[in-house]
Amino acid sequence: MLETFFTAYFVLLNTSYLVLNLMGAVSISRRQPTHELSRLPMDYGRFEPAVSVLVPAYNEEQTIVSALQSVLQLEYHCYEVLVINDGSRDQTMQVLMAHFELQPMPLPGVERLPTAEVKGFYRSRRYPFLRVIDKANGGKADALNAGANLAQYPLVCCLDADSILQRDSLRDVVQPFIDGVDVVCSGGTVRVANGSTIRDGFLETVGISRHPLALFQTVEYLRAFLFGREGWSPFNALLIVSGAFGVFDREVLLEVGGYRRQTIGEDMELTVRLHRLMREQKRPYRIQFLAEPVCWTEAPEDLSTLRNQRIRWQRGLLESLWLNRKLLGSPRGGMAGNVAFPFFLIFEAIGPLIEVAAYGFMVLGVLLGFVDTDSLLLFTVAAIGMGMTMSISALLMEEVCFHMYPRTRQVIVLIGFALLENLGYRQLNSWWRLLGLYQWLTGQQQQWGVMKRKGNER
Amino acid sequence: MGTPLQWLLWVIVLDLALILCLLMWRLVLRTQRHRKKAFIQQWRSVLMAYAMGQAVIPLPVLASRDLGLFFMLWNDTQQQLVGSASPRLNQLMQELDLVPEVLRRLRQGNLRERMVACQTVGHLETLTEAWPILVQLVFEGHARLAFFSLQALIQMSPEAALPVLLDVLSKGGAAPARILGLFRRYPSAALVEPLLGYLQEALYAHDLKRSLQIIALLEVLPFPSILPTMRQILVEATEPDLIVSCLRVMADLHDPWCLGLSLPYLNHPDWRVRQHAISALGKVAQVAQIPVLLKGLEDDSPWVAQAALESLWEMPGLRREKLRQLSQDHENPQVRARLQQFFAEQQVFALHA
Repeated sequence: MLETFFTAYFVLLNTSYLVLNLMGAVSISRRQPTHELSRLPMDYGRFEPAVSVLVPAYNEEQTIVSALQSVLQLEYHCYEVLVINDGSRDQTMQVLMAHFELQPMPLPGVERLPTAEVKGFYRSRRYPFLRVIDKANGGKADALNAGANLAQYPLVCCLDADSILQRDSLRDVVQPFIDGVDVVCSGGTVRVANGSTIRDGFLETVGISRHPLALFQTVEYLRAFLFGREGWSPFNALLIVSGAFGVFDREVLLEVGGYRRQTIGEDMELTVRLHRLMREQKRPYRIQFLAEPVCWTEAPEDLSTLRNQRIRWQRGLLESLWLNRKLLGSPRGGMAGNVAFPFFLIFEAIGPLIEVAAYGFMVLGVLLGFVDTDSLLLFTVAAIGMGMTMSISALLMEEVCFHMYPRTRQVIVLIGFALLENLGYRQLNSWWRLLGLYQWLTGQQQQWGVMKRKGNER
Repeated sequence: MGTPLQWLLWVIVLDLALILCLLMWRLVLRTQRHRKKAFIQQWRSVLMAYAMGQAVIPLPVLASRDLGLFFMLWNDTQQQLVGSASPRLNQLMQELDLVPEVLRRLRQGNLRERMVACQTVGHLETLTEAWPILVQLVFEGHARLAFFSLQALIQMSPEAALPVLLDVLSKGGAAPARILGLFRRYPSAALVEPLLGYLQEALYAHDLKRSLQIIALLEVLPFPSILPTMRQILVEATEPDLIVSCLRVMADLHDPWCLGLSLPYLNHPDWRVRQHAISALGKVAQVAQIPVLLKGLEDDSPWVAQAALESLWEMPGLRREKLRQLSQDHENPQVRARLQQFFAEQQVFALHA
């Protein structure tokens, strides 16, 4: 009986993801011809909305300068960069001061979002559109709120300090705000940069890491972004716009109270809250995902950092859903509240519990002999075989739509890891997510994550 | 239902099929890329030769499967041309007898083909039989396709395209920012009079949204002939958005009438009106208006104060030392802080310059 339940769960889980995959493929294929043509030279740049790029930094002394290099060279007609030093305990502020020749400025304007104390406000002499906020430590959400307070443009783009944008990414991610009147937020794809070559802050050649963990994550990110998010977006049911790369209407962001402080998954919480509040207020809105604008990030290559990251993500997910539980099944909830929310609740929030129990049950069953071969085979098909199909289809979609990996060898390695990830990596992930669920239920605290960096800069 | 073993085999076969598809796709892509490269190499020189007025005899063979690529390349080349080079390149289209194909793609092509065909028709300019198809495409509900169709219509005849453009704008069928870009790219004095006519109609019908859209379009066309109408609207307007739009247009064109017409709005309850009134005044202010601008520094809204500061900074007849001194000894601490901020920023910009 139990084995039937577990098998059915995995069939449902993987079928849902495959349906999302299909929807994502349709969505991308509809947009692709338009996207390519919009790149023809058209003289409307002046009318693109100006953007404030917010870069929160905490203990980033080693990477902050190179990380900012890409942001300072974006192809966009009007933008400013606001770095928010969130009370770093290392030399981040001193490095910024020295490298960008910061000059102290009086604090402007009224703060609409409450934040930890802002100690200083600086402007770079080398790049007048680079400004730095030095504030007491308050967490990433608090730092982003401080940035939103002092941003001067109508759109704010939130970036992680270790993110590497492509030159045209900002231009691409802002397109929904130009074409749609009710767009409040848009997000782009985050891809794994490990193994790629980065020069002067830009990704020079796309590569793949030699480290298995990074390779697993490369496949995982492709799956999550290319069809996880692209699939939900056409239905205005996207529940997460990644904190590593998302653009918000500043006025709406301030109106809804900015990022929630003391939250781990502040990016998801904000996205779900936007859905909830907009729907409660019966306001027309759109939260859009675009796969074309790309932001590259370094994925952890050691188990302990990865474990902490996944636990943090799981807790963030649970927190976001819990804090906005009114959206679930609400008559005004639309696709976001009535389809995406239950989906996340069943497959992402409490899913790890079922998955770990299922694997444990099946292993025990085989050892103790209470699970027969047929049931085991069916379970293998549902949990592992379909999982492989899902991962391979994500790779296929990447290849058809974007063709990012230039060498066939790279694709073959990724195919291998797409198959292999179902034989241990996904199970390990389920375990970590279960730990996250446990930690959230027991109310343990967690702060900014510490990332062990390897770096790809030449 | 099948046995579990059969299911397992099915999934394995499916996975293998997907992997095969992936690898085959790469192969196809690689072949396509080589072909595309060779095509571009061959045809780019032909297109450039035609643009420079040199006929190429005989022309390379153009296979039907390469037509899409040819149109893209042709449009790409056209975008970079000015003057008589553009019609010369149009001549190539006639010589290759591709106009019927362009029209076919415009009528029956997929989204991508239609978009490229719109661009092609726009560059050809004289293909009148395309007009009704383009008008139809404008209203098909696809914002980007509507934009490309509008672009073609404007290239063909700005005046005749105007009613279509205003219609689609009012229905939200095209992005205003892109339309403004179009106006900037193809500015035409011939558009001013009809636009002013439509503006009067919209005002008469109390259609504020449409009025604002038309003023925004006029703002992009920098022709002083719009100023008398703007002044008249400003005097009669009560809607803050309308007042702001008029003030902005007048300020952009340095209308001397701003001197008198903006004064009543300096005490308007809406800060945006005050901000634009100060900016407009600043554009034409003389020494006599300095006290008014200095008063603006004390405004509750930081944006109004900023506008006053920028106006004062650019004003002839006011020594900047006087402002610097005010940043030290103005009686209002908020004004002092604003002035200090402004000077700090000016210093950064001066250093950068």
